Amino acid sequence: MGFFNLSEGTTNEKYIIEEINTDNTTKTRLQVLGILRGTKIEILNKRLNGSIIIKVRGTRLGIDKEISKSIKIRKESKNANLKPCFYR
Amino acid sequence: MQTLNLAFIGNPNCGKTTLFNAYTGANLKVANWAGVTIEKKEEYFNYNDIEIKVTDLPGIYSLNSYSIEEKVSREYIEKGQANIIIDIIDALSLERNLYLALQLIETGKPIILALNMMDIVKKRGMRINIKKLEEMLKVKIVPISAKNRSGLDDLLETAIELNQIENKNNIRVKIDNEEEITKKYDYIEQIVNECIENKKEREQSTDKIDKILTHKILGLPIFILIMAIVFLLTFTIGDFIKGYFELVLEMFSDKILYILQEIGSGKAVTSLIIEGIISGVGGILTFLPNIFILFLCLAFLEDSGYMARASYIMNGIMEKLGLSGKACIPMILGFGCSVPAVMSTRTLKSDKDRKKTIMLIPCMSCSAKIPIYVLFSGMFFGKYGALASLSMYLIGVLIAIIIGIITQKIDKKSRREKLIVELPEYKMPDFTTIRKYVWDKVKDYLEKAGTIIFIASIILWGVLNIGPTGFVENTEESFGAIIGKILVPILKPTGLGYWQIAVALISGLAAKEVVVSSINVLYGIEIASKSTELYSALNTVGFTSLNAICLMIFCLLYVPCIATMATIKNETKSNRFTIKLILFQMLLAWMVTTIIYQIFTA
Repeated sequence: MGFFNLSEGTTNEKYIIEEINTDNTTKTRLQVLGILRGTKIEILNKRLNGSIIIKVRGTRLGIDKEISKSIKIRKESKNANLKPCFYR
Repeated sequence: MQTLNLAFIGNPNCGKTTLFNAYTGANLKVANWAGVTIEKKEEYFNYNDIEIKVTDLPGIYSLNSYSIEEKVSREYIEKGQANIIIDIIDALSLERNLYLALQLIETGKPIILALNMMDIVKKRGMRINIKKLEEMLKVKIVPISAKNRSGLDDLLETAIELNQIENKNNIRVKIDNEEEITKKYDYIEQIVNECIENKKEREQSTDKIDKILTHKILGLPIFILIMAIVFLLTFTIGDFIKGYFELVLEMFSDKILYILQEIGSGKAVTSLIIEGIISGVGGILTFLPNIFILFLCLAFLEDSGYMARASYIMNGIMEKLGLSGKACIPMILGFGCSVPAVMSTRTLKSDKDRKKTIMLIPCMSCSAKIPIYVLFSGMFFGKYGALASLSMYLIGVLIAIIIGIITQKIDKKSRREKLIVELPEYKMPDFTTIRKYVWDKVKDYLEKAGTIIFIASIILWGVLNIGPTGFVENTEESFGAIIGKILVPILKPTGLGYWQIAVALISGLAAKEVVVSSINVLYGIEIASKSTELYSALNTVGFTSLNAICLMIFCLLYVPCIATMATIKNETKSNRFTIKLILFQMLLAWMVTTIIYQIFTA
């Protein structure tokens, strides 16, 4: 299955986080907000400069290009049962 | 009597400060963006003969102590005298809020979860099984609504009860690693699955509004348009109402003059009251409508939830200045007043980002500069006055951009903070919040007129009417003139080589409005509102519209008021930075006005 950067995702699509490759401080900041491996996210908005708005665990977050490039995601497949489906 | 110490903690924008205000009757600022509370605030109140002290801690997402706010909160939890921690939880974002709650529960400190926003939860038809939640978390939970003041007594009763059983101090907060964070979130997912019924999708309206306001192409033009409307309203409607204020002031001044003459007061006293105080202080009061409208607009921006979007939209541009989009909020606040703007830079994590933002804030024309712009634009540009005032804002922003780009070029390796910003739901601005916000600012302005400006006006009157020879008839012989004349050669190239202007600029260090009251006093304008009088006085000494522009730009750029300088010193804890900044701004103001004046007179 193909992984790609969050910055390459499509607006209004739902994805699952596969990997976060950034400095430790930023990584911790993302983690405490619940952005972890296996977390479901939805892309709400993308700007030309690469910043992006995601919805994660019921919260809207605006993040910049550098971060959105450092997060690897995959498509949420309908029947996947890697993780139980959380409420949404 | 024993005091019960409560500490309020919680995620940013969860309603801590609203709750704090509800209990204590305090008037702390509330707004709809993360990071409004930047330092802990304490207040006492009595409940059923028990003295209760509450401490409002800054909003944080975790106790992992990577930002100033987290450090402040963590240290307080570890070493502070709180008997009980009250963790305020936004029930609408339970999943995110519970992480901090789990971390707090882990410390072993007595804790109560206050489940806030329960009114909205009900309205949306969501159900939270509080009993189950208490079982799973093993803590007391009290549902409340800080805004509607419901559940407030319950929360206190629970705290008092809990205090009699438990007491624990000197705990240590554990810092979570990735594995532990994941574990906690896994548990939270389980909790949410079991305790929440009928969890509706969040209000769709926010997403719809965001489709337009954060649109990838239209987002930026809309932001610029919104800011333009803010200032346009400030100057057009503001100036219109100001006209009526001037009429009242004129009538008042005439009346006082008449009374003074009736009772036969001495010439010096009449001069002090009419030319010194009424002209100085009264002149400033006529600008109240402009100030009022500006802060009304800013309150709207802050309470609606748009502020956080501004940092998202502006991120691309701010990156070019070597700053994070987050630096945008302090800069917008800077249009109101530099002091809270400088303090709000605490939300920026890196010291370099903070100092750079602080350096740029004074370029955002604060509300104290409005009187200067309005007075001089009105006198020299007539019906294009509003446009001339607006252009000052543009020039300020432009210069900030230039400084930003230049410093970015010099310091290439600077590491900018990456942007992660929570975008709250939009809401209709709350009337009480707006009223409080605007009234606070209007009160500040009135207080300033009654204190700093009042005193400055009297001192100025003294300096201008007393000289080495005693009481002088001609102000040219006064101490003020002597001081001002020393600076004339330096100010000559900028088009401001008049001793009166020099004195006005010095007095403007107390507060920028004082420049206007000084000029009124300096040119012996009896009725401050009659700008035609001042206009002809300036005209006879060869002060043209070009000089007026130079004066406005000089005031825009030169050293901010004493209060701002003190705040910068406090916030950066660096005398060197503060002094360097002051020198830089003086040089900047002098250079820019010199260039403009020389080009247009050549």
